[in-house]
Amino acid sequence: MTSSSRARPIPVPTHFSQPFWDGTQAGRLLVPKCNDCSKYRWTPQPACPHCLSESFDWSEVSGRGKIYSFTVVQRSADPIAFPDPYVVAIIKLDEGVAMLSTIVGTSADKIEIEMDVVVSFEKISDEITLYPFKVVS
Amino acid sequence: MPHARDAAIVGLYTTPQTRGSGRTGFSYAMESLRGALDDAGLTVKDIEGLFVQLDEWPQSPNPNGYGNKANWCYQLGIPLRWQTGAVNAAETGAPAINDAAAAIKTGQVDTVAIILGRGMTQPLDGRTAPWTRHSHEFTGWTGSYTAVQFALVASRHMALYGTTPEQLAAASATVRNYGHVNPQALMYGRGPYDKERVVQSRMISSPLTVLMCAQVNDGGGAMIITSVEKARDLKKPPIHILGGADQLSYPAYAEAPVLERHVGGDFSTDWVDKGFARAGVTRNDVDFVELYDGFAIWMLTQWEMLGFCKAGEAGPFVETGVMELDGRYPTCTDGGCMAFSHNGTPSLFRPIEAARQLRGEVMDDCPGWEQGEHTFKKDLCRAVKDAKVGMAVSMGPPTGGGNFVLLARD
Repeated sequence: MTSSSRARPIPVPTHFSQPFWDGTQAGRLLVPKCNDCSKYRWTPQPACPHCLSESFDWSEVSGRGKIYSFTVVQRSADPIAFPDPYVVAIIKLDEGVAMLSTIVGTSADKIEIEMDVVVSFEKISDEITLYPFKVVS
Repeated sequence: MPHARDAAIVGLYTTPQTRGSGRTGFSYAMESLRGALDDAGLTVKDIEGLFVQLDEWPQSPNPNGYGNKANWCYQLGIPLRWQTGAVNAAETGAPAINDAAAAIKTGQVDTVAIILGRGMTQPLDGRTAPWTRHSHEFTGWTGSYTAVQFALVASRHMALYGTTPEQLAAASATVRNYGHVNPQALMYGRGPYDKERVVQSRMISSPLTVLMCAQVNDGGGAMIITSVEKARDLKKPPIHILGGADQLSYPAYAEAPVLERHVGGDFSTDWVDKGFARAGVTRNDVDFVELYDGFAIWMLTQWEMLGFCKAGEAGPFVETGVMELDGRYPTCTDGGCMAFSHNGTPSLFRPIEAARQLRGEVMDDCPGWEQGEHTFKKDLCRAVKDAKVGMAVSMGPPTGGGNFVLLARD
């Protein structure tokens, strides 16, 4: 085991969020979608913030979106877990929700706001697969 | 003319703001409480309500969380008669003052103390402060921490509105220059600063450089609030609490900080307008503003959020020098979070500075400051000329909300 994989914080699913992490493991990005007003929400909440309905499904989304904002982190809070520089981004999915994630596969100086991106999946443990985004060329 | 049961600030104190003193937050809190009571001419027996922000309680076990009020009243040997005081970082600033004023106005209590103390704040690994690191399920894995969240706001603001690093730097330099002439500031004498120095300092998370971010240090402060009726018999002239407002709209640091989070539309200011209306003053009455300047971009978004300029216009707004001592709204006149103190939860320092300006108790490099004689020269002075109404902002989320209190002298 490398020091990097030892130190990187691994998400701990809750009973409520487990379907999301089951989805990423299966290569699917699942987002709660209201069964009454059909709107998506992120992060997962037990009721719809648009119509207050508690009825929803974990709905597979396109995984496509645009870079809403990004930053190149030059001063890592934890250089063992996150060697700097690295990129943290907000992705606005085509379905309308904003998701905090990272950008992989493109050097930081080539990244621009509003670029098209698509989700990719990165397995980091038996239980957890992350969901960084890649620039669509 | 204030009503007898309106509330006023009557006691103020700040400890030395330092690094590596080895003192606990509790020690800073106790010094602050004693100092503020002495400033007011009151004793601990006068206190009936309490807000505390503390990083740790030295006694263990403490099953109910740091700064728990049951521990505090037992420690201080006083009964508490008002149980809604908070132990949250934001609420120990402007929201605490507004709440205390409401409790006094409705006759629940006469006197409230607000206490802040944090010690041993330096991160053991020399990196960013531990409280800035996120452990949330959908955030922690990205390597985000507080500065990263604000960098994301800044990056979007620049792309959307054409805001520049120089504009962010102008705000930082102005605030840091107040700290440069404040002997009580952690960063006293460390300037002067200009835009170039701020832009060229070490990059933390683009576009935010280290001089666009607050530092980390130890320190404390306290404030005593009582009724105007009771304030008339005390040592110092009362500083009146006119009112304020507060808005919260999402769990910061768990959700992505998008600008559209501003409830009611982009940068809706209706909650701010209502606060001004309740307080009976307008933005035009405000002589100076103590923004919550944890990051340079936060100052810009606060100007927009509070309605002093339109959404997207804060960059040019700050570049005109509006925040300078001779500008329309001198801002963060003690050096703010950037240069006076950021001990992790410095919310209370903003209204303390506002009240000191209104009292005319402003320590700076002017030779006659102790007699209240100021030069109003920027390389020596940080006293706002003839300040009658001040506005103070405390910690809020990166977007979509915040809080403020409006204060006035007699």
